[in-house]
Amino acid sequence: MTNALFWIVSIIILVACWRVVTTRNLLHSVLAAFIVLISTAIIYFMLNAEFLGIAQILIYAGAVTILLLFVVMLTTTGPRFETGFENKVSPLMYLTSLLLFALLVFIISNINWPFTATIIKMKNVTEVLAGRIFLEYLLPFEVASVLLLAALVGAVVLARKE
Amino acid sequence: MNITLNQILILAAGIFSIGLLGALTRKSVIIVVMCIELMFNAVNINMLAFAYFSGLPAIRGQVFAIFIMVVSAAEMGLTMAIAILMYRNKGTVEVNKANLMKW
Repeated sequence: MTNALFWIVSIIILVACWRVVTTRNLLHSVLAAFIVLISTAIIYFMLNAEFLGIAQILIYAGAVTILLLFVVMLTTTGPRFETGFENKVSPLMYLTSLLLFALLVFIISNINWPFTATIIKMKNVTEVLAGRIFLEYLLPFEVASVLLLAALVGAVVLARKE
Repeated sequence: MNITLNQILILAAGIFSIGLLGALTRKSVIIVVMCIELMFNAVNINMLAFAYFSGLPAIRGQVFAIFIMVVSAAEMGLTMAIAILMYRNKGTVEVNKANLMKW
């Protein structure tokens, strides 16, 4: 049951990823990325990470996709949202990516992970996560909030008209 | 029958490879950044998979995934601002036209 759902979701993710990379239409590319992000949230839910799944849907599928769509609308001239590929070195790039994938699969399938077979399904993941963030990782959390503020101010300063 | 760790790792490797291919081959800044986001997603899937399959009640992998999400969101906003700035100055967002700092 879980396995069948995982296969369906992963096939959807890989096909949509391929559409992101290969389609020439910018809007179709952004919508395929939307499908990838939503399906990744389903994978998160299957991995017992409810808070991360909700945050993925809110941040990526909500905010980031809207931001991308706005930038596509603002920076495209002409009636068709089309763009091209780099034309000189593409076969080398395909080869690089394929070799990376083959290397990763080879490494993954040759390692014996030292994990126990029992998987603990936690009921209160969000509670434990909040404890971790606000007690043990409090300083990185504050630094991350300062980073977000700095990025916000920087984006406003960069994109503002003189 | 449940899913295994290797299935999820290979799925994440596939997403990462396709994202790398897109980041290397596409011309538009928007699609390059989107492919980098796909690679971040693959890394996040790996983090959550190790946190889930390690069998420990401590979920530090999820904490790291949250920090990755924060940093990638900040990077996304800045890059889109740079894309708009580049469109205003050069009239295009294609990366092969961004050769101002090329020697």
